[in-house]
Amino acid sequence: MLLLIKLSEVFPPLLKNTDKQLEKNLKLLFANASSAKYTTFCFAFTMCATIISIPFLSLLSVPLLFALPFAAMAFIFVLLLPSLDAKLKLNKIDSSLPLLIYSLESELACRTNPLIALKELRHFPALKSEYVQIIQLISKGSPANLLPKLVVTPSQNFSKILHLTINNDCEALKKFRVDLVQENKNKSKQSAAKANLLGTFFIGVAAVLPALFSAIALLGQIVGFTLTIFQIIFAFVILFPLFDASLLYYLELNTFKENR
Amino acid sequence: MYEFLLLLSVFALPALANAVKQFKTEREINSIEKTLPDALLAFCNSTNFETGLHNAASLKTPASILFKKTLGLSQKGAPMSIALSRTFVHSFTIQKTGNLLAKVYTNGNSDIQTAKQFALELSDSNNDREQIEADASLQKYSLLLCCALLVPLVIAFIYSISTKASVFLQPNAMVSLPIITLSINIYLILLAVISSYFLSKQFSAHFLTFFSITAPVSLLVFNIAPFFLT
Repeated sequence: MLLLIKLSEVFPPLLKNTDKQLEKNLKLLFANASSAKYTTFCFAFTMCATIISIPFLSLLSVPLLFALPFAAMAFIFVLLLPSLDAKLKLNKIDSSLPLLIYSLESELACRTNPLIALKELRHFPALKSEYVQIIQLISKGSPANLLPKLVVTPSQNFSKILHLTINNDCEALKKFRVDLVQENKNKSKQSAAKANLLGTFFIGVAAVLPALFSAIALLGQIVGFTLTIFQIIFAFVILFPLFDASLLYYLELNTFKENR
Repeated sequence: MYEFLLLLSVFALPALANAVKQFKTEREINSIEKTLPDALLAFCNSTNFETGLHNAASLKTPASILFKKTLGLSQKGAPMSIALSRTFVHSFTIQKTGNLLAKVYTNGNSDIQTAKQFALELSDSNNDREQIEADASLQKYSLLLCCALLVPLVIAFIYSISTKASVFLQPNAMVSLPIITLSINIYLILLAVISSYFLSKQFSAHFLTFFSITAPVSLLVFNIAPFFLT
């Protein structure tokens, strides 16, 4: 994702995007990113992909008009990628928070200075960028009480933890941890329920669809429906794996797992 | 195809061994973390640090082994903080416990209440985590089972029926049969790659750990199942 955003930096900001959320998500992933440049990159990327796919479409005996909805879908997908990535990051951060609070609580209970207690963040890979920002802000001499406002993070819960830690409020941290654990339990239950539903769908897409396709490829001639070798290979090597990857990506977006 | 399967299985063996090792380590960490609150509470029952360590070590649980090792290192002359940092290493929670014990050792009894509180909260947190992990492992094993067994089995079943029907109904269809068989085999490998990638991302394990299970098993099931289905 970072590579795509960095690549988009070489594009001119021709297409303006008024979506503030996109700008915010891009900034979370890469500080210098611009939504106008990224939108231009998405458009150029989709155009290139469409042009490249034209000879393949003729090989597949598919009308060229079919390229248009696929191009639109690809454009929307690439445009949505930063938001999806930010959601994944937020999930990872939120799942690490109970353990982080637990660790901060024990440090504060042992009368450790709150700013030194914040060093505990180094043990959490999901909070790496936040940790780097805090270290930079402290070394620049920023006042400690401004840290929650200055640190850029997708998680509001993290900002609250930062605020409570700096104020050395152990009791409030503990209460917040209990609430977060309950919230995480609910999220985990919801994600398990979604996964069950998606699992049924996954079997349909990953097993039944290819199996029926192979049956059609073998028996279709009886009803005058023949598939070319290229169509068969395309379906099994590109189309079905693409469906599977999309479903699993969606599953990952909705999966909650508490980090250790 | 069978030579390829054999080759894949041979190459998968080290990864499979790694998977088993990882599974064992995970189980060991789980058992230590589960028994850590009791050991810590036993430690807190004494006001003397060394007696506390002896109390915890006498429990004969996986966590008490850590306390026993710490005592052993300390008796060999290692400073207590170093002995603790060498033995309490398996996971973040275990490291945290080691750090806390080091603080109790340095600050004396003033931090023993914190350690007690830590033990009680660790026990609660273990229960909560168990619930969350049960849901997550259900997803992990369903996906693994689905990609390694269910998908190749369903494809093999429908494919073998259609192959037989095509032989009777239209013998020309046999021309495309090798292409379809090869395509399905490639598809199963790609599915193993995709599912292993997602599983490894979700469960912080190595890609090969899952791939070494899903790829050979799914290919084996697809190529062998038709013999049993006839």
